[in-house]
Amino acid sequence: MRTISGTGFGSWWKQQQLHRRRSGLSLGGTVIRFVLLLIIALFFGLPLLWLVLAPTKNEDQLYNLGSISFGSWGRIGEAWDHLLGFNNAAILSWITNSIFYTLSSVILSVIIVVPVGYVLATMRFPGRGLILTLTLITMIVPASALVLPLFLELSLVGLVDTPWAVILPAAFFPFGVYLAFIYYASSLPTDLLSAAKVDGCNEWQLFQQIALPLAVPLLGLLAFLSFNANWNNFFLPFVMLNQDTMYNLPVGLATLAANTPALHPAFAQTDSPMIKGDLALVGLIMSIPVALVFIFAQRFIVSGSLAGSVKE
Amino acid sequence: MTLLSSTRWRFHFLALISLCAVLVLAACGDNTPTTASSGGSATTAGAAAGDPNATITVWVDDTRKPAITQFQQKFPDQASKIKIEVVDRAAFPGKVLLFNNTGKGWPDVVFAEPNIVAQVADQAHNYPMDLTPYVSADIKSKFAGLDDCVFDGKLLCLRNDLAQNVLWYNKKLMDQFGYTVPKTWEDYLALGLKVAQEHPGYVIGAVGDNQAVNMYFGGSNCPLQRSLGNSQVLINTADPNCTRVADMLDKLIAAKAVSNFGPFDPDFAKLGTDNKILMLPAASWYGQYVFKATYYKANPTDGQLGVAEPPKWAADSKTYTAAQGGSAWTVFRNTKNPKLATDLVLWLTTSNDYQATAPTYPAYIPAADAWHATIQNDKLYAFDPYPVLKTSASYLYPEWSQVRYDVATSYAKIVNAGLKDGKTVASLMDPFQKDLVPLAQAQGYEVVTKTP
Repeated sequence: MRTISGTGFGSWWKQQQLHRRRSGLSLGGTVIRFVLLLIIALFFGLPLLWLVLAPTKNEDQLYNLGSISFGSWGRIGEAWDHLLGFNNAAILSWITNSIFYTLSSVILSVIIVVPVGYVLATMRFPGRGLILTLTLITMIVPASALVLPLFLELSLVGLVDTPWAVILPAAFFPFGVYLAFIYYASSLPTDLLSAAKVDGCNEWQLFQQIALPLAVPLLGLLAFLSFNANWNNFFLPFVMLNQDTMYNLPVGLATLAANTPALHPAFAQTDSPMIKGDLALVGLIMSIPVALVFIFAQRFIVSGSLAGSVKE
Repeated sequence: MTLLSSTRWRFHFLALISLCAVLVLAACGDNTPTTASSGGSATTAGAAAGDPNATITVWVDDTRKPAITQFQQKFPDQASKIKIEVVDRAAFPGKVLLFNNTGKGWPDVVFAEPNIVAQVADQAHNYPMDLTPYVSADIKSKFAGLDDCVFDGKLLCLRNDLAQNVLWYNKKLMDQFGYTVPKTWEDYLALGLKVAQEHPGYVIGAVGDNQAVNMYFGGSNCPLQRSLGNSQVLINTADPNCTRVADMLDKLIAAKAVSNFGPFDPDFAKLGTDNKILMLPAASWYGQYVFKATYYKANPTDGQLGVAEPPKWAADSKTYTAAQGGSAWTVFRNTKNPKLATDLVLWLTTSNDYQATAPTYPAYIPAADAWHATIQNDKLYAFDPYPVLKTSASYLYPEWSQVRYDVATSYAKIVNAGLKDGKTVASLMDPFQKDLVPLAQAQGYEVVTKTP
């Protein structure tokens, strides 16, 4: 194999030409591919960049400076002060609640989903087919469609307006069950389980000592999916919670936006100092944990999502 | 195989039975809303007797939260009985339906616009208490705009503040150009066409947002939301009171004397910064919160802003004006502590302790007179605007009723969007009618196009 050493644009260009020759792409094809990728990156990246920069700008700068321009670091502190000034620093409660609801939901859903997927994949029992079919059906039912029946159910047992009203429904994670089922059905050799049984393992030990340690990528993927869904959950907490100190960040952000003239000109008749950049800061606060979790969990997410895709 | 099939069949059968049980339970649960919403819930007895020690929950916005805190400080023995929640009041009607289903959870006092009160006053929501027994005739007579709280003869809310429309103008520019402030809409049109010719670039209004319907059509007694009782409404965009507005706006838009932007659009705000707004028909709060806070913020000029009563149509016997906002307090019909809930609402709306320094124009006239001091000496104005604001508040009229469908949103969808596409207001009146009628019907109204 030919290798190219050296640094600089000339060296990079030669590498690209070599790569192009190997992949059979013409020069025009390479350029088109590059331009296309650049357009896609700009299309999806610019709104994100705008969100990152918006809290640095005051109202005038937001309109008069370029969209992708930096205001000042001091504006971020001012935006944070404005957020703290809303309803006795309710945002601190919303952040705490979001973390608590999300972590509890993730733990609960993973604890439930993994054993269920394992059992469905490794055991044969009456009704297994029906459970799998129901799992598939419930996967295609939008989660928001179930919120109202859930509200009635939780109201019946007196859990509405408590953290449980948000945490418990998160345990219902049919997509996670299906992922766990696929993972174990395709990645866990039945011979391994049989051998462990011969060595004296009972069913619990099989799961605990063999199935669970082999499912680290699955756990990472499930935890990420559950985290993402619960961290951004709006409709369920919106319906279940009535006390403003119990809101999570998405419901809090909606309340904030509705109470200030920043996005609601009809409410301009207030002395609220809140401006659009302040709301963008809340959006940023909401986005950062998802990005961080993705960065730390991406190795598991990739390997977990590819599990079962190749039959060996 | 047979055994397996039999086992499967039994399991499926049991699953089916379980499903039926759930459905039956759901059907049983369906009785709850009817009972609750008809007032037959367990709370009724408590409400009838009234428990002076019961805690009440108040739903409010962040701006009015200090008012409740002020009440708690003023009446410390009641403070612990009041729980404040800062909410998005647009969610209030939907939440009431949920509470009606479960028979609990209703807030006792809510700060909301009268059109939201109209929504929760229908049979499905059945939320508000008739405040008539709690408010003396004397107090009622001292409110402006209280018609918006009267539904089917019942007083379902008390007005907190008013947002009556007036005519704001730049006095310095008007004097400089030698113009007189128009007293009729006909004069307004004539002046607009003159401004377009003599001083192109200056504007006398903005029609680009949904509040234009309140400003211009509401100022003409156009029947878009005229309630004829709780279940009948008059909508007729072909009425001469509507078509005269459409014709006027089309001429002003064509001459570019009014802006096709909304008052909050950055492009219109720039006109304000560049001092190109000669006149602007708008709500009473625009002086403090739009002209001062936005248009004149970059270049504040003392004594520039004047205000006049909203123009009158020459053929009309009186001036009509609508509003852009203005809220009210409503009380839950089955509140466990009606004494505290109504005392709170009465204090919030009538007490000078709060209203004299409230952010917006108080609906209670003696409180408004006290509030006068907040703007009396503001250098923003060319003269004391209060007398004009007070007179204009008296032009609010009951025929521009509070209804359960959203006229402004329909206006934005049909008229604002059509104007952006280059259509005329007159050509959009028929589509506007066709959009409004089903909206009203969906809310249970019988729509008529002529007064029976």
